[in-house]
Amino acid sequence: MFERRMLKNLDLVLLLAVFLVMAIGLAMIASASHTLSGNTSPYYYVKRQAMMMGVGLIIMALVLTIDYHTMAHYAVYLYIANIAMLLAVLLVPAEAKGAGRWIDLGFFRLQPSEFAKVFLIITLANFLAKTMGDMTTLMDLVPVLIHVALPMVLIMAQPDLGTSLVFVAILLGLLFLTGIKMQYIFTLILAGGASLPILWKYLKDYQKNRLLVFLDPNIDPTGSGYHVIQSMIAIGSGRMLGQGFLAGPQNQLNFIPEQHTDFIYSVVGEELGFLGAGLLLLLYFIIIYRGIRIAINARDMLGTIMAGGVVTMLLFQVMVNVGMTICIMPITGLPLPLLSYGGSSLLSTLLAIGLLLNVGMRRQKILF
Amino acid sequence: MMQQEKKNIKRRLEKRMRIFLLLVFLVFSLLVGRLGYLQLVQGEEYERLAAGNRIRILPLQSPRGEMFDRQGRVLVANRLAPTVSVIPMDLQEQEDPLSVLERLGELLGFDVLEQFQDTIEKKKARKEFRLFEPIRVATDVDIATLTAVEEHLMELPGVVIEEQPVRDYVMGDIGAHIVGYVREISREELEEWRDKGYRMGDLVGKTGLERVFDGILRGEDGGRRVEVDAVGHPIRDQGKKAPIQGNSLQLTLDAEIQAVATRVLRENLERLQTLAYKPMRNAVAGAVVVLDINSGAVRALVSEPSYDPNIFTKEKLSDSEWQKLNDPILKPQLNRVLRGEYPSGSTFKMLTAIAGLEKGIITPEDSINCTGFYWRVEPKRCWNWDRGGHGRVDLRRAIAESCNIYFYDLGYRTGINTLTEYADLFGMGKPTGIELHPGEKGGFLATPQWRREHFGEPWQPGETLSAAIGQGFSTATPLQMANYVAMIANGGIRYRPYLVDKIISPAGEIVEEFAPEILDRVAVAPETLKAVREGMRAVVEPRGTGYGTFVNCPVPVAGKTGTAENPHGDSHGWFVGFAPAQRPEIALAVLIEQGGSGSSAAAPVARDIFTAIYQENQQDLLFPDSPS
Repeated sequence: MFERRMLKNLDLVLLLAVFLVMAIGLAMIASASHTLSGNTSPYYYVKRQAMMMGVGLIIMALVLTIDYHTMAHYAVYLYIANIAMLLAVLLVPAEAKGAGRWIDLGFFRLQPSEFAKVFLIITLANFLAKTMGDMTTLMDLVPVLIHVALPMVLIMAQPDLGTSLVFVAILLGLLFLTGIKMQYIFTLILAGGASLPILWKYLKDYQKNRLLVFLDPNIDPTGSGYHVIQSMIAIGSGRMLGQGFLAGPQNQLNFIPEQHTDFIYSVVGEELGFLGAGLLLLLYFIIIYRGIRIAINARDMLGTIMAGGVVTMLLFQVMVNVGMTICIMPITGLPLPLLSYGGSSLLSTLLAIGLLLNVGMRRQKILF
Repeated sequence: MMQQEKKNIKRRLEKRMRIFLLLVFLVFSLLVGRLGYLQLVQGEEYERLAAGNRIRILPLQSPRGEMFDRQGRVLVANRLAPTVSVIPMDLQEQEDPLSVLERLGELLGFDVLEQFQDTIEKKKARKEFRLFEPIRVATDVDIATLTAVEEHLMELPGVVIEEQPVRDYVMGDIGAHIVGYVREISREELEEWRDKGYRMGDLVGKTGLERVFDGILRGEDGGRRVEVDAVGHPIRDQGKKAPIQGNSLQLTLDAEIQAVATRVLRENLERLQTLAYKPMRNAVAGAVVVLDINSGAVRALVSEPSYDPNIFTKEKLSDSEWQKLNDPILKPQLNRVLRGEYPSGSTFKMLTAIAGLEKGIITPEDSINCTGFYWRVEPKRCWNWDRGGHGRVDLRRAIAESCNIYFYDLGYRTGINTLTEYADLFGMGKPTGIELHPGEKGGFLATPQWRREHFGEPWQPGETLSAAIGQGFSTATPLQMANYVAMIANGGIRYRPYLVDKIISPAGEIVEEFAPEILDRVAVAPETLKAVREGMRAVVEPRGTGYGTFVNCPVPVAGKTGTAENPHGDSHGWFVGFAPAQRPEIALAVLIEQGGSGSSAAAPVARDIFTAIYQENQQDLLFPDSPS
């Protein structure tokens, strides 16, 4: 299955951009967490993250050796495993910020919802690639919706609103790419919009608050609103060149909440300035652009959809996370891919990048 | 054909990909644009705000819900009290932060440093420590101290003076056992209520209704986001989240009856201690409870001695206050109405009568001859043996004059199991179910089985005779006694006594209304209860044990005196009763610890309470439309 000549097709530009983002990430985690660790080593978080990068790169390399068609072949099992994993989280909850999202493996706390996103991309791509030709009516979409809804409901039950929204983004993105009539997609969006008030009732108060503060941080100036304000102060004060590495007062004095995880971009903005933060966005753009190229040039529909899924996921998470720190998106608790501290997020993102490169390696022999 | 379709799909896909790419462009343009706006256009302003970060959060504590009596009179309210807090962030920036705290300590008069560091340690342990969140060091500071701190504020960087709501217990030491008090949440409570959103430093109800209804009374805290100057003093408000007050409680309690009962009980304790003939120097404690017999609503609940819950608003209690609160003899924190357990004495005799009547062992007219002595089983005597006993007594006279011989004989003939059966039906030996903290005691109902298990020997026949007149092993709380008398008055309905009638939102809407709760309807013949009531009525008529006390009472009362032997000291005096005798409305129980006989110690308290209540009502009847 794996042939040496495939390596020639490996997208080195994309890979380089990924490495650069991770390198910036390590530096920023170091800056954001060296005051946090308390009695452990100041480099505790950096070391863990670097270790996870190593593991993630090995996983990525392994993923490259498996033809994505083979993965699609086992989609049913992958789907069952995915559901089982999410059920396990609900049944064996670990306490973390009031939401049981993790399975404690001792050395590592596995967050299944992170991996569920990637698994969904594979199984949904398989499903759509097989059935897309037959999708002519709105009713044909029902199985697709069920396919997505099942794991999504389990994730919402954790409760993890952010990741559930990623599922919605992946669904809409893939439906769009597979060429479903636009009117169906609009119908879905309308139906989703109409059910929002019902969903709203089931949200916890803190979730409602977090969703609303980006409209006006002053509705909760002491809670979530405070976090957004502090994040904006941090980013804004970075100006063109930044306050300098390890020198951002907002970060160093712990004014930025969750500064090594969800709000890591605020640290980038504060310490590296518009140049650094803009460069980071450029790197994300390169990753996503190369991903779209891979999707277009994929050998078959399955490859296109898989690559498209990964690209949609990355785009959505970058948009929501960066948007949150600059107060144009609500707070949803989504990590910034490749940058935020957190093993599960890093591993699953590298897995997704692996999938992307996998499709790219096995593209048509003749380009253009 | 197939090929053609594939091409179509491919073409459409590429079109969509182009649209998608455009979307990606848009998203990134938006992000970069916003980033540029924040960093390049507004950067200077943000840099100014970030310089030593000038934004602080000052929490605004929410006022707790209030408590009203059944007529809307305020029992517990809130008032604004000056508090002094320190913001660690601003302190840290000083060259010598310790001296600031020492200086503040001098002005406040206690060791601020120690308390401050202690609080920070606790917060750090719970990962709740934030440099920019103020730490409160003193609440309800008196005006002189406050002025001193204010004058020296420039030398005290990081010190903030704010007003925060504190509890105002309007009635002071009246009803303290009912309303309870609030105090900072303890480590154990934080653990226990982990999921309920409590944070370190929160004030929570420790006892009484404050505790039981804490979740309802506590509101939602708000806060101010303020910009501070170089020494950490607020200069500009940047945003405010108004605190939301908690829900209020409307109680079944009647503030007037409560106040009268408290006053009367205190006066009588004093009277007993200074009796010319035989002063009862140990009569320092007592309990009164008044119930509505048709609902179980508590109209008054008094436990003496009491304490003033207002002392708990300050961070620290003085040594003398603490000692007073924990006096081993007076036990002011003990709610004797529901946690004091006493032998019921002769107030138990109605139960013996009910058991005998219901089992057909006697009729109200059956009589015996009391010679002052009882020889069956073992020698026992009546309390007036030296005057030759009561002579011929029927049920009515036996209750009225509290004849022991009559009830010895009746107890002997009904047997301990039947007595236990009826005592249980009337709520003895188990909690009444009232909603107060700390939880009530259930008294104790001794049974032959218990006797065997704990002493390894069978129940003695003589113990049945003691049980029949309320002496011996069994005990009851004043609340149980009042509830049992209420059952006699209302025809055998056992209500759950309750204190909270309604929960009312800050806007004045009724959130929840509590209906009377019937726990049991005992199957006792109306004639039985009527006969017992007549006996209780005769208690206050000529020759009855309460005649002298109640002779001038404006309302017809029915009741029973009781004197419970106390191996550790003087006897406890009881009076239980209800009024008006013919059409009962309220029932009451009075207990005077070591007060001596029921007729001399407890009956006068009951009379004064009944008098006060029904004089009030008579006024209402005279002037039905008068504004109150």
